[in-house]
Amino acid sequence: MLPVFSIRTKLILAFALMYSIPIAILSYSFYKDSVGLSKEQNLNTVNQNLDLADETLQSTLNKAKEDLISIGTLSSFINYAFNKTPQENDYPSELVNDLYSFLTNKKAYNQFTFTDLTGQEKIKIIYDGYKTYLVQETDLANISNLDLFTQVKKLINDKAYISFSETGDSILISKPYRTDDEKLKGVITLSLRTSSILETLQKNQLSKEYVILINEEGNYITQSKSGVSSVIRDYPEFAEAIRTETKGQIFSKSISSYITFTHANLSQFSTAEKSWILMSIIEKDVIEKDIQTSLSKTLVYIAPLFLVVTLFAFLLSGLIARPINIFKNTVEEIIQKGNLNKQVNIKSKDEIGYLAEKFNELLDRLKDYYENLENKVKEKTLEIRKFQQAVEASTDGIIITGTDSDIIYVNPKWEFFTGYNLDEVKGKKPTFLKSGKTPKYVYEEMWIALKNNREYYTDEIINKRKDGTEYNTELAIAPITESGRTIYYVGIANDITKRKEVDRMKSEFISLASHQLRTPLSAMRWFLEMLLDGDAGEINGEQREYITNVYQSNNRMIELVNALLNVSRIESGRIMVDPVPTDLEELVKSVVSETKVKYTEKKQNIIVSIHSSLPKINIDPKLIRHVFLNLITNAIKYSPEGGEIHIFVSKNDKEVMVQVSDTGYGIPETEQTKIFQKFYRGSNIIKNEIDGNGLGLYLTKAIVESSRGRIWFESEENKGTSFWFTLPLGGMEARQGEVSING
Amino acid sequence: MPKENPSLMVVEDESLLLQAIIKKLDTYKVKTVSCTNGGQAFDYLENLTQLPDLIWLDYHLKDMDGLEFMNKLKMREKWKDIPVVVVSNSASDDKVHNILGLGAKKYIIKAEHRLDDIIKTVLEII
Repeated sequence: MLPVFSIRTKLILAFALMYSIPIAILSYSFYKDSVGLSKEQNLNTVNQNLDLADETLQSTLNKAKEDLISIGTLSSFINYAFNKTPQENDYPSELVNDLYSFLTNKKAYNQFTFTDLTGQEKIKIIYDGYKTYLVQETDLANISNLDLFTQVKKLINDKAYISFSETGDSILISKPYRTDDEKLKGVITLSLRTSSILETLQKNQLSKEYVILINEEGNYITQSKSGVSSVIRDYPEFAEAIRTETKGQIFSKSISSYITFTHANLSQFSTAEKSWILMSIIEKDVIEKDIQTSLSKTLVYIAPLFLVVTLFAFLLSGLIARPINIFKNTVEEIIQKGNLNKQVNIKSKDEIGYLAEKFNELLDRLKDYYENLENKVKEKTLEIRKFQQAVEASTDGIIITGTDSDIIYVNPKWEFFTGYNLDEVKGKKPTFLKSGKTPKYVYEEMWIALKNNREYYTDEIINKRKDGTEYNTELAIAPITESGRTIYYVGIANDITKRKEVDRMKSEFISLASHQLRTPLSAMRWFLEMLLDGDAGEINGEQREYITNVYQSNNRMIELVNALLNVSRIESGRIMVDPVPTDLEELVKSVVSETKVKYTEKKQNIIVSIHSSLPKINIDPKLIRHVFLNLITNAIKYSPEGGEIHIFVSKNDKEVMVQVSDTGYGIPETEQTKIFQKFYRGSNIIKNEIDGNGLGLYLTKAIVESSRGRIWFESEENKGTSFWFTLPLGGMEARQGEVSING
Repeated sequence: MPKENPSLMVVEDESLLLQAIIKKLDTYKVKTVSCTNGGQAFDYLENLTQLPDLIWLDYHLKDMDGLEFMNKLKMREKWKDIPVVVVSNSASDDKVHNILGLGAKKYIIKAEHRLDDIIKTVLEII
């Protein structure tokens, strides 16, 4: 799985998150401060500018006053003013010229008037912005009834009088004109264009800020371009403010503007006006525009900061994530290419470095392990192949099944004698081979053995080939276990039809021959008996001795035939097992008493010791009796006179164990492996004991083993022999058969 | 207890054995009728004025086996109570079991016993 969010992305996001919050807070407060500052600053500026405007207004008016005074000091004006009666031809052309040049130079003034004491205008020069001209005498008016004239005449100090022109486009600055001896000569007035004042006032203002001058009634002293109608008329609260405050600031919602006002300082002048008010009107947008400016200003500061931080986050996360990425890429390469020689090359001294170091160690170990494993696999494969070939080439049929008994494998030999091939039988249960003729107990015993993880052998199975013909098979089946759990069953199976046939024929032959032998043997026996009984007349001692020898030999022959018959029965599997609950103690004692004649004859002693609480066990008494009889008879037969025979019968929780020990001749060590073989007789006893046919122990072993017991012995020549055999406490299993052992 | 002068029918196809048996029985003063096959035995039984006290029967006869003989014998009312002792050389359990089931008194293996002992056992039964 590829990482959806790389560590680097996560780190960047984490850093961004970490820095974003303080940056946002910082930006906000910066913006907030900046906005507040800017607005305040702007309004302050407006205030200051308004103060400045006030000063400008004063200085303009003062300048006008000084200009007025300077006109009064002109020699041409003095000459004219002091000329008592000016003549018609006595036109003051010099004065007019001076005034012309004055007005033209100053440009701010549009008119100069000199009025005599009677109130009659004497000189009036007008400047219309382009040219200067003298008003004709006929057009001069008498202003004696004007408030202006009376007020100015009264002025005694140096103050100038200011008033509005009738047209409203000018401010009139007037002064009484006196001689050096303080004799009043008239009134001089300079008319200042309001537009010129406005220009001056506007000089220091912010853009889009309009300064206007109004009187207390709200009438405009100067005209404004703003198109604001009478502020005082429209806003009573403003009228209230200018009445009570000398200075103030108001926000007007209707025109969406800040209005700043101040009462103009006219203390140096005399006037009829109550108050002049300087007003600054600035639209809210202008102030707000400055706020937006502060936003962009904020952005200008914050954006680079943010960029720097992000860049830093990128670099830092890259630095942190780099070893992890190297790690990741190396691991990917190792996985994709299977290259275990690769190493993670990270030298950092942190956890990742440590991890890389350990990972490399792990890789080394893995490499070693892998190389080792490879060799081992090669070795094992070779070994397995060896076994596989052995199994395939085996002359025994081999079948492997799962625990569910489904066939996993059969070898060619198995295929050969069953006629089926592996593909046909794979996954099937081997029950298709059943002919129905195998004794049921075989399968029962087999499953009991396999369930208990034991091996099982049988040669009694009769199966069917693919072509339907029957065959005898012997089967050795063993569970294959791994850590105590069965995983497979392996069966070695062989077609033993021919062998069975041969065995059967052999047994039949022996059986038939034995029967045929018995008839003449019986005849011999009975006639000899009659001879010995004197039925044919008296016989002498020597004759009796000879006939007795013949008789005994004949009896041995009969015994041999009986033993051969039993062997052939055992071997043919036709022995019947008929288990009944049997008291072993009783059985042993009866066998002992049966042999009493023999052992007392040899002055021997038999000591029987039996477990005190031996339960009855389910055995075929006829068969087990034969075992006891054989072992005890052997002990008697192969022990010298006066010997002692011990019989112990003990038990544990699984089986009964019987021991028969004698103090006899023993079995030569070199021959001990042969003693259960057919017709074997100890080389040391043949000389002493002619009786015996070498079939007894063979038969005994066959019986014990067919009863699921074990038999073994220990022997030392001339010291004695001990035989042990066991019988399962669970007893023997019944078996149908044709014949039983002949005693 | 042995009967005074009992009569025995011995059915044995082996003439040597038959000879031995008859001779030995003579020493016991037993009247004997000897037959060498089954057919002969039944002929005698048909014709004898006095039925034998016991039949000594070999299992394997040339014309029939012991089972067949027993079945035939048991079919006739006057014969069915005659005791039969089987004296044979072969003794599979099945054979023994079957023939005792048909009413034979005993099954004796010839070669394993003295003739004397067999005769004593047989006379005990009469």
